[in-house]
Amino acid sequence: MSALVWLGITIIAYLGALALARRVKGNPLANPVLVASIPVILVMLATGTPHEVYQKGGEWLLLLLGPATVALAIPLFRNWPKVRAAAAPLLLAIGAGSATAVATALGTAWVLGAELETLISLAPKSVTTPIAMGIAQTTGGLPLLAAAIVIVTGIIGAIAGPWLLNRMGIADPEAHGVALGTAAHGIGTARAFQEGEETGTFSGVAMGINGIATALVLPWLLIWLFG
Amino acid sequence: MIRLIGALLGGAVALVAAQLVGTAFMQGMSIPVPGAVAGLLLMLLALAIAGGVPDGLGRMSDFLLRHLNLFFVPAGVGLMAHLGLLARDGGPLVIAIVVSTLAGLVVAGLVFVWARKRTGDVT
Repeated sequence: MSALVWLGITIIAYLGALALARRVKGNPLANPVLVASIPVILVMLATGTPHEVYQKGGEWLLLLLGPATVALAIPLFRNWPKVRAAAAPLLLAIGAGSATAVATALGTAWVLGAELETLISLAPKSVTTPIAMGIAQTTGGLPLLAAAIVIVTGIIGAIAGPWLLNRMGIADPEAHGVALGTAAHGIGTARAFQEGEETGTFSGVAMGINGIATALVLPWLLIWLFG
Repeated sequence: MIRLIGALLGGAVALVAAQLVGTAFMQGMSIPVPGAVAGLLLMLLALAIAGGVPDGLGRMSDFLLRHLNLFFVPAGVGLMAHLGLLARDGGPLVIAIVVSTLAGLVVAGLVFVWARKRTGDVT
């Protein structure tokens, strides 16, 4: 029963966040994940609900991430000629962006004196939560910390990404998609679909390829780096 | 109306089925690729063989993708509930996240635009 109530509260908070986003004409600052989480947290605090209880309702929505990921196949199929025509630039961009994110994350945190477990949990930050948690688990990081870092990464990328790319003189919708999907996984892809189906498709492709490549390569790299 | 609902349900079943088959396949082969990503590839293959997107599947997918953010809200709530986690190495952590996210984004965007020009594909 209470699981259903929390599910309902989450959906209502999300609809409210959507209404707000529409009011500010899709301003990236009104990120729906960020905006919708705040009232839910406030209700939890007001009713003294522990996170484990909330999660029984929230899990239902997390479960839908699977079918939603499969659904990316449909825009990908519709835009297949465009994706194929850009295959080489796409792979290069994903590889370069992904490697840059891992290297700058590890480098910055290491220079600033972060602990080893924190470093390992930071490395998989560009990919979706389940992959990142799996990598953290197998390489001696902290899965929950990795998940939190992934979400912050997604929100920052979705908020600042389109603005920063425009400032750099990159206006091409496909480039926006590749950048958002590579650096900010599903939350970046949700933002990309707000910009248009072509941007969203390229973001989905970048997210998928980066996720697969990271899952296959990063654990070995971390074991080699940190033993 | 009933036909539309039936088509949408059919689309939902197809999405879930692709994910389940993908998960089973990857576990069977013990490849560390998530089941949903395998399901995506499977679905793409099925669409290529069918040569088109059935109406219900198309509408269901558009609906899910339009509301992709909704499925991340519980994770956002989880983040705020465990904010203490980020306090571990807080300053360096937050700086590293911001720097690396923006760097990865810009590099991916720039390399894509650059590589596109080099391959002479200007669209």
